[in-house]
Amino acid sequence: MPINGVPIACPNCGAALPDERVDQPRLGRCEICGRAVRVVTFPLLRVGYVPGRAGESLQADGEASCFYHPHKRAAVPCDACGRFLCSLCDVELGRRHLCPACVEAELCGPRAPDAAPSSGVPGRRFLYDSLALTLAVWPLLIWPTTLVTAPMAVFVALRHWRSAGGVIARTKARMTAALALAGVQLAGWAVLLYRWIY
Amino acid sequence: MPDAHATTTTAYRRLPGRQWLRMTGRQRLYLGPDHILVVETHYMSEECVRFYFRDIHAITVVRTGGWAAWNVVLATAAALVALLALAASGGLAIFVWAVAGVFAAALVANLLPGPTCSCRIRTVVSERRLSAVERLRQADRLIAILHPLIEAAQATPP
Repeated sequence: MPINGVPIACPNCGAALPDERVDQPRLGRCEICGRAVRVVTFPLLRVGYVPGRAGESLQADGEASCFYHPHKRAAVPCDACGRFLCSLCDVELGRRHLCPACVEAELCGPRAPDAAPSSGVPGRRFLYDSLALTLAVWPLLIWPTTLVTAPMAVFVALRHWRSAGGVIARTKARMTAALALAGVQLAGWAVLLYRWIY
Repeated sequence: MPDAHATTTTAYRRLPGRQWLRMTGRQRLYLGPDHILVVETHYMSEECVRFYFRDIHAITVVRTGGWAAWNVVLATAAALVALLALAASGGLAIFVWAVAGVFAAALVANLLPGPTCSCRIRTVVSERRLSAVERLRQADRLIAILHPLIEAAQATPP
């Protein structure tokens, strides 16, 4: 079905889909590849959007615009936060396209939640609760190493106890489990050392 | 002292789709006030990408053959091990029956959620696979939730 001159392609083989295969409530079979497909389109597609180049200005209402320059046409999404960027705001780091805020976050550490625009979701987070649990569990396979890793697990868990631990709120279950397991290991070492000395 | 790493205060609701933990990580989907939040956990780090309703072009779903293939593999394995169990006796028979039971349970666990699919979300400048949506039923539920929201967001001028 050509929308604004652009045919809707089968998501599997790329062949143009006939009208009756688009925006249907059920799967339909692509006549070329035979795969059952469903394509749900939205009004924005009917605008016939083409990504902008070199900070192009918007040509029509409804076109996707740059997050930082509402009058410039979006050219690429930020690989970290997903915001749309015009060519002026697109910062290429290696193979990644980042917005200035995410570049700053990568260089200077994560930003405070109130400093982030829009919904305030930072792009990438380190999960200290997973680190603490890893330090408490995996070294058990080579148990003598727990003499070093158990205190590390306790330190990480206590140091980052108040860290949220993720973009979406996570429970303290991993931190608690890490503390409990590391505590048992430390108690075991204490008993072992006591018996060895006395 | 408030932590600089504090969790966002935006209210998110979990969307259909749950991916089993894999070596490559796990993806979860959340519904925000004006966007979909895709959260990918790679063991010790977490990345998130937002897809604003006003930027979404299309959602595509392709049925994949994983469901049928796994059904054949698991059913064959369960049948073969059950045949071995019939030939065995004593304690060995109990063990082999238990193995056949594991294959049968895996078959049921794969059978019940229904056919598998590949779901993708397309914006004006990007496309991303929603790997959390692995089953057609999940994709149908996801589209049923998102469709009116995206239509409403794009019907009103920014």
